[in-house]
Amino acid sequence: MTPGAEQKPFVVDATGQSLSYRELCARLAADQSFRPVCHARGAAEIFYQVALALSRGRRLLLVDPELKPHELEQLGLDRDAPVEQLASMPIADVAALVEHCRTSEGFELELLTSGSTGLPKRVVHRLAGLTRFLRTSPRHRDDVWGLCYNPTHIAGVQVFLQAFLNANAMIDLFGQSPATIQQRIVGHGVTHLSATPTFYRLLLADVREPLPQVRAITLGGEASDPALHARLREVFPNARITNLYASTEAGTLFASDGDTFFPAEGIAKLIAIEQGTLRLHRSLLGEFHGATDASEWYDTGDKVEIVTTEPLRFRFVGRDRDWINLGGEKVNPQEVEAQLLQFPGVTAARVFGRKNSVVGQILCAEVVATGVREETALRDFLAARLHAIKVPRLISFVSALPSSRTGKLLRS
Amino acid sequence: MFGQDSRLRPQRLESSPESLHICATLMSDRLEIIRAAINRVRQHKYLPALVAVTAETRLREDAGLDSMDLAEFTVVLEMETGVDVFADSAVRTVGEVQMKLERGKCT
Repeated sequence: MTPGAEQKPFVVDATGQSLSYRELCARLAADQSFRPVCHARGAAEIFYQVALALSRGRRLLLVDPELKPHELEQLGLDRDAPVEQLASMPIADVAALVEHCRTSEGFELELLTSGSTGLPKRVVHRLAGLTRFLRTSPRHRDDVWGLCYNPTHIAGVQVFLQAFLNANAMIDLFGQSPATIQQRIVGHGVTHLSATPTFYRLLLADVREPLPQVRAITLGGEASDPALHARLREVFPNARITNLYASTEAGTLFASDGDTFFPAEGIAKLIAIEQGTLRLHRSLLGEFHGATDASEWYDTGDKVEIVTTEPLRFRFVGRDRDWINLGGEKVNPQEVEAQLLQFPGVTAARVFGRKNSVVGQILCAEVVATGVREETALRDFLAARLHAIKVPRLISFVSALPSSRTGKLLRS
Repeated sequence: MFGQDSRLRPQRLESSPESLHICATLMSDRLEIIRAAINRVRQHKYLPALVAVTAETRLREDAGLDSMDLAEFTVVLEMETGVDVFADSAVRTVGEVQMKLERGKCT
């Protein structure tokens, strides 16, 4: 590894501060306590904990700091997990740290995701499942990554691993305004971005001039569209653009330079398309904590259209079955409806997404309630129990909900 | 609910000499509509209402709206006025929102 590697920043936070890789090595080597449940806020601290878990071969659970006590309780995470004492561990230099982490046995990462029944679930991944598309090589030595995803989600973690295992600098861009993001991309020399289509749309709406130093752009988490790609090519004239498909359950599975995915042979035989939805063989998935569903094939709920069968090529079409994609974050309307029904006086509720030009969809609710119809009290009730993104932005009180002829609740 | 307050319902305009005068009156009505929409979103975030806005008020930096808030703001305005202010391009200030609302109605 070149001499410059030691001085490179690890993760530059929103205030512009960072540990250097050399300081990271020193801190990791001397750290004597490991918290198996990470409630930290911000990519710098969260990814430090992931690096610690990698270097010591431990299992780490990442918890979104925005989750509310009620949600943590449902996951059994409301009590503090015991801290583990560690012995100090000598780390010669950055090259040695990265090499050690690259082959970390014993490392496991546990992530949280909304289950299909509305109850959140925990998924455990080993390094292999998280690094399917990861490339380490001297070619990547000078990459500078923008961190655009939630650091506690699968996409955020995968970007971190790609950057960290190449000892690249990372610039935290998550949750910042488009103007700040642009300044930081230029100011910190970002060369690689991976983000949702919503992130790019918001950035493009505000961008003043092209960003020629960005060499690679990946998109994931939501369906993209050709118009967005055309705009991306204008603003990032030197970037290779790739679409990725990943899920919390399986990690990254497919990459494509367009909207048609062409799974590698090893993966192709582990997926099935039945009645237009994508299913994954259980060997592709991380372990589910306390899984009761022992079936061999996991239904992702994602609708696909087959382009050719031999070799298999397909496209993602339509929306996830019932789920609402809010700029990459998937919300299960049934989970929110269940909470609405807990509010006194509410007899029926329908939660749905409404398209808009800013962020794809915003969350709305129609509520049938007896007695006093208090929107503020209802909103407060939900905000106390649910992650902010699951609280509907528009709530209207109605006298009845629409339903189909078979009596099922219509959501679209 | 939306549309029930007649003060917020957009006026129909005809091309006539009086329409310029009506336009000018409507500009200040629009400022009020925009301010109400901003404050609706602010209230959902437990932020105090803005007492006044001007054309220079920036939606993100001054009104404190992030991307999701802007989405809500846009939808609320669309429901009240029929105009999607984010349709072809972003709006950054109240003045830009006013212009888009005006373009949507004063034809």
